[in-house]
Formats: sequence, structure tokens, C-alpha cells
Amino acid sequence: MAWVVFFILAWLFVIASFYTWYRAVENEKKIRQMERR
Amino acid sequence: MSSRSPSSLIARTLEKTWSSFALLMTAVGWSVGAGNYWRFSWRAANYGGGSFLLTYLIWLVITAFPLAIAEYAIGKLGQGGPLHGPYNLAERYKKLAAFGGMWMAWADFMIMCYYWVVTGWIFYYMLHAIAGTFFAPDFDASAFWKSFGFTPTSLGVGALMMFLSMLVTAFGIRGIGQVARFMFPLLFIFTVGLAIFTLTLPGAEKGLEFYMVPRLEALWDPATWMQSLSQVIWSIGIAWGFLICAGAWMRRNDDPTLTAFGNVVNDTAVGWMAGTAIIPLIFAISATPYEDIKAAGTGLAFVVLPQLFRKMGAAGHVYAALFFIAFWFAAFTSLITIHEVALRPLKDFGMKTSHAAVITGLLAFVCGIPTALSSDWLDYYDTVWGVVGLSLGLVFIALITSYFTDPARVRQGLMEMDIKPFIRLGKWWDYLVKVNIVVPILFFAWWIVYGEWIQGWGAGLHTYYTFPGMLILVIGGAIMYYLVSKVIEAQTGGR
Repeated sequence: MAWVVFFILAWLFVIASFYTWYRAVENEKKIRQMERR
Repeated sequence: MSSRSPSSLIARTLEKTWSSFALLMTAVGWSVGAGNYWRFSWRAANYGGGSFLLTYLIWLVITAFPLAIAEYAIGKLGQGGPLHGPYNLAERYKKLAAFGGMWMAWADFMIMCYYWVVTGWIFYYMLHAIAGTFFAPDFDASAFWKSFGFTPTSLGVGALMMFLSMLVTAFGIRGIGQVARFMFPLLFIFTVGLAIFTLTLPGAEKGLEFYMVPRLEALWDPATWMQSLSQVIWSIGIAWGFLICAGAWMRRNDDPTLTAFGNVVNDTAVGWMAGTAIIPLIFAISATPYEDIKAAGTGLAFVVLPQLFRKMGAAGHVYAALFFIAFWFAAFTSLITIHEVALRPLKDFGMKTSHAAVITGLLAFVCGIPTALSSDWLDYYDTVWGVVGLSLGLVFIALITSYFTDPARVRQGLMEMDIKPFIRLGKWWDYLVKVNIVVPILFFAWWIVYGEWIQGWGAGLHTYYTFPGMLILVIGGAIMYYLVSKVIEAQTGGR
């Protein structure tokens, strides 16, 4: 069952990837807001 | 001294619809390519399976993440490409810093010499996936690969890829970057889907065990460590010089820590998921998986993927076609980015873009012909440049950002943003970067000693076999240092 650790890790990488997509969109919103001010 | 040329393809890709998300997708799109499927499954299956993954993980933390940030820093703070970025950032040994950047561009060029070959394979498989060849009742994936891989047909298809790359880079065809940006999320989701499908097949759990359980004996073999290090940097695209180019085009508020983290996790997710789709499948469909892995060699992904799509039944045809279209786009956009970085030094030396694109393209084609016709040659190029060349590039990135200049100053420069950084860099980052000045060299030395002296002459790196390549590496490096010095002197008036 040692493979379970890496299996979970592989899925964590997938989730972390989606999170970076989300963070990039959020960052851009903040940058645009600052530019408007 | 700045070299932000408005004609750069990288810049053109980004300038029209620049946003943090576009930057991340473009950067990740460059990273994800042939390396995640073709090279990852080949190297992971042949160098330890689970042990490969464990060492891969260690390299991600020690090397990939800190050095991806460092490479972005060279571009963002040095405001230039592989030649000028390091020169501008360094406070001392400036010429050596410029040489380090050029070393990366040179490694990038040498890898381009066989990257067009692999892009050609993917293109050929894409055409056959669309035509439905894989779904004929008497289709034999191994025989199909043997009848194509390393034959004149494969050379011809590869030549077409190189020609297309020359067209795109010479004439700056717009739009490809934008298409690639949509293709990456598509490829990501397709790959996850493939991995899930493989896991549902009976017998896949044995493969999952081989792929994901580390074995102690493989951890004692330095080849596992060196191969996983090279895979990490090859796949993510560290020490190729293109993160420097991307860094040069970042705005003040584009966060290099988020983009570097994004490069690392997105690329690893695709690579590990591709491995989950490919390696366990061999165990599900074959009675002799270990022998099949050895026999498939560098063509592992190309032997396995068609069989995976066949298993999907009626939906397999559409899935295969869409997957290979997205995969080819990923590989082709990586090829043109590699080409762009390879021609950049010639532009920095004062040559026109179109001339530089054609010269580097033709040279890469001629130098790469042996790799299109022989798997031994491809392995040879990949060992000398993909493993040794890129690892030395890591040492240069670490030197430039932590020894040729004050790492605290670099860190401060990176943190100068109006938004909160994704990860706040502290002294831990300085230490991690410094570790990379010695670690790749130590592992390289261990690899040679273990391979040649303990396992027997020629068992490890095949020193006698790779020696001519190493010699080119050293002599070429010396010539390049001379050229870089002359160009720098001419451009700065000897300052």
C-alpha cells in the first residue's frame, strides 16, 4: 500500500495546478483594480 | 545594456492579451510537451519506477522550484535574454555570467537537434489517430512503432516539423501562442482522464505498485538520481534559457514565485498523470511487462498509448484524435520556443531574426539526423545534453543569482510588487539556490565513480561512449566563452 502516498501526491499536484490557475486570475483582478485607482 | 527586442516571438505571444493567467498558461505551455509523455514514461520505467518518483520529488523541492524563481529573476531583474540578462544582473564575473546564460542557450540548441524528431513522431501519430489506424482489428502497436520509429519516414516527418518551426520563428506567425494557451488546459484534462481510465483496468494495480513504490536498491544507484534530476529540469524547462526570456517580459506585478510554482506543479501533474496512464497499462495488458518496457526503450509511450485508446472502445477514436492534436500542439509550441531561445544569441550578436531562424533550424536539422535514424544516437544526445548539459546550466543559474551577485538583493528585487507575493522568499531561498552550485556536480561525480569504478568500466554514464560528446561540450564551451567575451567587449566598450 506504499503506492497510496504517491498516488495521493499525484492528485495533490493536479489540485495545486488548478489552484495556480485560480491564483493567477485573482492576481490579475487585483492588478487591474490597482491600475484603475 | 538591454536586449528587449520587440520582434521576439515570446513577446509577441504575450503582448496582445497579457495577463497573469495568460503568462502562467504560456509558461506552463512551454514546459509541457514531449518531455511529459515520451521522456517521462521512458525514464521513469527504466530508472527505478517508484524510486524515480521519490528522487523526482526531492529534486522538485531542492532544485526545480528555487532555480525556476532564480531563472525568472535573471530575466526580470537583468532585463535581457540569456546573454544580457545574466550580464546585467551579475555584480562580478559578468562575462562568466553571460557565458552561463549562453551555455543554457547552447544546451537548448543541442536539445532542439532531437526535439524536432520527437515532435515528428507525435505529428505522425496524430495523423494516424485522426485516420483511425489504431483501431483496425489487426493493428499491432509494437510493429507499427518499429515500422516508423528511426526510419527515413520518421526523418522526413521530423524535417517537416523543423521546416514549420523555421517558418514560424523566421516570419513570426502570430496566433500559435494563443491557440496553445487553450490547448494546454485541454491536454491537462485529457491526461487526467487517461490516467483514471488506466486505473479502472484489471491488472493495473501491479503496474501502479512498480510505478509508485520506491525500492531501496534503486536509491543507491546514482543513475536514478541523475536521471530524475535531468527529467525534472528537462520537463519543466529549467536551464534552457526560456525562463530568462519570460522573466524579461514580466511586468512589475507579475509574480515570479507564482509562475515558478505553476511551472513546477502543472508540469509535474501532467508528467505523473501521463506515467499513471502509461506504465500501469503495460502491466494490465502484458504478461511480460518488464521485458516489454526494455524492448520498447525510448518509444515506450508510442507503443503503449495506441493500445490504451483501443481499450476505450468506440469512444477511443475521438479521444485519441483530440488527445494527439493537443499533444502535438504542446510539443510544437515547445519546439518553437526552444528554437526561439536557440536563435536569440545570434540576434544578440546582431543577426536578423529570419536569418538566425533559418541558420539555427538548418544546423539543428543536420546535427539531429543521426537521432532520427538511431535510438542509440538519440539516447547519446539526450545523455550528453539532456543530462550533463542541463545539469551544468543549473550550476550557472545558482552561481549567477547567489555568488556573482548578492542573493538578498535578488530576493528583494523579486519581492518589489504592489500585490502580495504567492510565496514570500526568505533566506531559505538563498540557501537552496546556493546548494545547487555543488549538488549537481557531486551527483555527477558519484554517477561516474559508481558507474565506471564500482559497476565496471562503461556501466554507468558510458564514459568512453559519451567522451566525444563531453569533449565537444568542453571545447565548444571554451570557444563560446571567447565569443561571448568579444561580443560583450564590443557592446560595452570593454567596461
